[in-house]
Amino acid sequence: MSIILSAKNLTKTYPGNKYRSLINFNLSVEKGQITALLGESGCGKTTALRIIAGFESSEKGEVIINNRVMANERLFTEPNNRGVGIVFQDYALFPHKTVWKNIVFGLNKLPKNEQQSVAERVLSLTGLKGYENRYPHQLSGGQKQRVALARALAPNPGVLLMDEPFSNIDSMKKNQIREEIREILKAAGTTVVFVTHDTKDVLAIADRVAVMKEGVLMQEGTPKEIFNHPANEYIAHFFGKTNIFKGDVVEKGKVESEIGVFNLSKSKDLGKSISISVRPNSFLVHTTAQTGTVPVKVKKRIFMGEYTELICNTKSGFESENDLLVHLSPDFHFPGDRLWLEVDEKNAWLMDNSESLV
Amino acid sequence: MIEKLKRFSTPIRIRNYFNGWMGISFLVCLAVAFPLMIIFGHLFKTGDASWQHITGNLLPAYTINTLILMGGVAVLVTLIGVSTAWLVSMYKFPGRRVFQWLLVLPIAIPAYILGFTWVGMLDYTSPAYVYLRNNFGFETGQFLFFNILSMPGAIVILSLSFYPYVYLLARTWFMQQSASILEAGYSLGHKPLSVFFRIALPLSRPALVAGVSLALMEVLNDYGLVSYFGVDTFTTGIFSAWFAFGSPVSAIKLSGYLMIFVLILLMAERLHRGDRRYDSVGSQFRPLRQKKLNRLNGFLAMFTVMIPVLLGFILPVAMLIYWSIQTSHLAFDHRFFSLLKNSFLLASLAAVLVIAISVLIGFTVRTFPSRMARFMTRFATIGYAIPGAIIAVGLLVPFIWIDNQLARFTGGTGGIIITGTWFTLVFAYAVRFMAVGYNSIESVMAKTSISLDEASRSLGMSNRNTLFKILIPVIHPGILAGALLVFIDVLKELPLTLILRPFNFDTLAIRAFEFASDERVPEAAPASLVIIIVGLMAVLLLRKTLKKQGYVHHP
Repeated sequence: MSIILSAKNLTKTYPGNKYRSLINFNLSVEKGQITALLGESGCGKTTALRIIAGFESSEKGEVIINNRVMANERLFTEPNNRGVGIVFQDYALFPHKTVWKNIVFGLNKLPKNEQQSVAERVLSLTGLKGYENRYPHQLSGGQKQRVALARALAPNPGVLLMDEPFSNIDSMKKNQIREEIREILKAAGTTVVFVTHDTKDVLAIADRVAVMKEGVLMQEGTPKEIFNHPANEYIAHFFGKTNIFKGDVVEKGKVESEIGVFNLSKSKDLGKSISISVRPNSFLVHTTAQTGTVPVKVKKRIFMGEYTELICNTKSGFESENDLLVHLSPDFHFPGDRLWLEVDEKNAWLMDNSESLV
Repeated sequence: MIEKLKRFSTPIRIRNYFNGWMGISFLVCLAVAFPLMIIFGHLFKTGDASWQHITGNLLPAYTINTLILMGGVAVLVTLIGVSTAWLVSMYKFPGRRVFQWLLVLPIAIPAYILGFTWVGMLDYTSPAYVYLRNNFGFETGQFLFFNILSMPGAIVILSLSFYPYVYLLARTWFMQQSASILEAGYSLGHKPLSVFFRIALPLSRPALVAGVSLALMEVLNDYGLVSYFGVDTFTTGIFSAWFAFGSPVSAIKLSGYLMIFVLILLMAERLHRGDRRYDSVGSQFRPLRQKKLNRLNGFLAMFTVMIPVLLGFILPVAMLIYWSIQTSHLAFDHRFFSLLKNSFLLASLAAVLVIAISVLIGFTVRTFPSRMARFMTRFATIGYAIPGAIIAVGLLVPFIWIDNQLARFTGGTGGIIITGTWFTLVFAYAVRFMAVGYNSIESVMAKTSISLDEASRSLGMSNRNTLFKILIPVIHPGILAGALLVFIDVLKELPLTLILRPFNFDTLAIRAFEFASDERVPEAAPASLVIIIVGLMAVLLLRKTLKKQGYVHHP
């Protein structure tokens, strides 16, 4: 696989800001892949996107697209010469142009008949046939987004950038639209980088994800890798609810944690101080005492629809905010019940605290 | 193989500063600020004999008169503006809805027109005086009631003309105050008047300061009214230094003094305003609900808001209409239409120039934002605060010099090649009214998402194509509105036109002023009415914007 986009050591400080918005940011994107930049607002993900697009300059680092240096410390290629397509958060459809005119806007260097055929191809790809003569204000939110996508795809950009593509979509329709967009992108074979703060977007459409915090890229990998093996507590929490407890590796394969002693053979490669992350649905639940289990008492039971969340007290007087969460489906346990939880080593993830960034 | 694309790349450090857009914008800003720099340049030059005379004998009077005028107007516009704004914002009374818009209308009448109209309405031969004299033997000397051609008369007329600035800003401010702030005052046991003085007035101070300083800048700009009323101010001083004493040096030095004064006023207002914005509305905003007044108080309130509308608009306009009909057989000849043509052509040219420059600068600042770019726009738009006479002098002096040099070069005798041409006039209008156009362009650009530009750029368009194919088509309503505002301001303009107009060249404003100065007030009416009618379009436009966004940019 060939690398289409690479960003090297990008660093950016906005004028008047004390803090750097982006610090030594590195990213490589392979052809045809969909990569997500994930993080909270202000983490630098949008800055990275804008530097790649050419709307901002970086004070350090390099942007290489299709083996061409687009920007480095000295040179800057204007956005119109980068071959980068963008779908904006507000779609930025030209309000005075029809859908058709919007789509052919970026094709002005092609002869008329080619413009025609390209525009028709992206129209059918995005399912917008029949909407050619509508104006943007006559379209629904989802349709606008598809027009924005069609417009950006029409000039066949080397890389397609998308800024918070699903944040303006009704939550009812989000799942369906994510699926549609992924199908369109995959059918077009486009290389995509998109920015989001929603892990659901990542899990639904991204091939790879880069998690960012405070201008730093913390972890990069497939969504599954990061979900299952987060590099630190921040990322573990970011991808949904999890139970994290600190522990010390007392001897080879044995961990003494805040809530009990576990046999965890994976711990032997790590430092002395570690954190253990166990997703709420990854406990093995026993109703009788067994070796290697932690006794808990059910404090609260919340029906969540597809599963039931149990909030459990541990005997060792675990802080209430660190009550253990257990997701079960179906379940027959009620407040006051005693349970014994076993941590299945397959489903537990150990993080080395000495390396942790947070 | 990684390829370096030098052809499309610019060195990064200078990209945001040294590009064609910044370069052209910078030159344009420099040109716009040029007359002011000329004035500053002359500030410390030694004066001639006339200057000695002026500083010795006239300057103290100019200064005192100007200060009295400003003080009087400041007090009166505050009184009228705030009280009417408070009444229409807080209370329900008969005609409130109509009056809240009628109260703005006097802004459509230039002060000099309002002035000579009132003189015509009160002098010995006015219909009212004739009627009272013949039927009741009522005699009060040359004028009905009191001598209007005096300092107090000038203060009253200027205040009637400019109180809408205060009214508009104060009303917008009151409307934006959450009702709970005032209700808190009532619930703590204060009476309405006490709430007004202890809560509303202090709260509205920023709006008040802004409104009063706008009014004062208009006072300093005024030449037509004060010269008509025989009040010698700085501005009339500049005129007489140039035309009566024939001393350009004195005129330019006086201009310099006045400009420093204006800049201090401007800075004081800026400083006072700080970072406050008048259009901020909290999330817990609950609009005021007007309290219904009882019958007597309702009529009192109606009467109060009716006075400025009646004196500042309805009576004078009625009078002008009456005179226009009376003189219609004289007025609407071919000369009137050539006036109309001159005025409309000049105003259109100025509007096109101002808007073209505003769009250029606005787009440059939008595309290459930097502190330097923003400073540049401040520089280019300072003219709105500078009296027209100063701008005229600042342009005339260097242009005459250039003409003389050209004449020497061609062997002619001190010709008028650029001085006294349309070019000079339009240039001067552009300097004076750049802020009017720029503010409308800037506000409509600010409301247009930058991602439209960026989308166009990412689709392969250059900055220029982005401007012409995307931005201008999208913001064209704002462009038209800005152009209309400039057009109207130019049509009303007097002092600058008086100094810079080509020989034997008249506009509507000049004709009205000259007829009035020749004591032929009724004949001045038709031209005045045209100016007022066009000015009313500005008020309508203002009303639309106010309704849409709830605040004003430049009245």
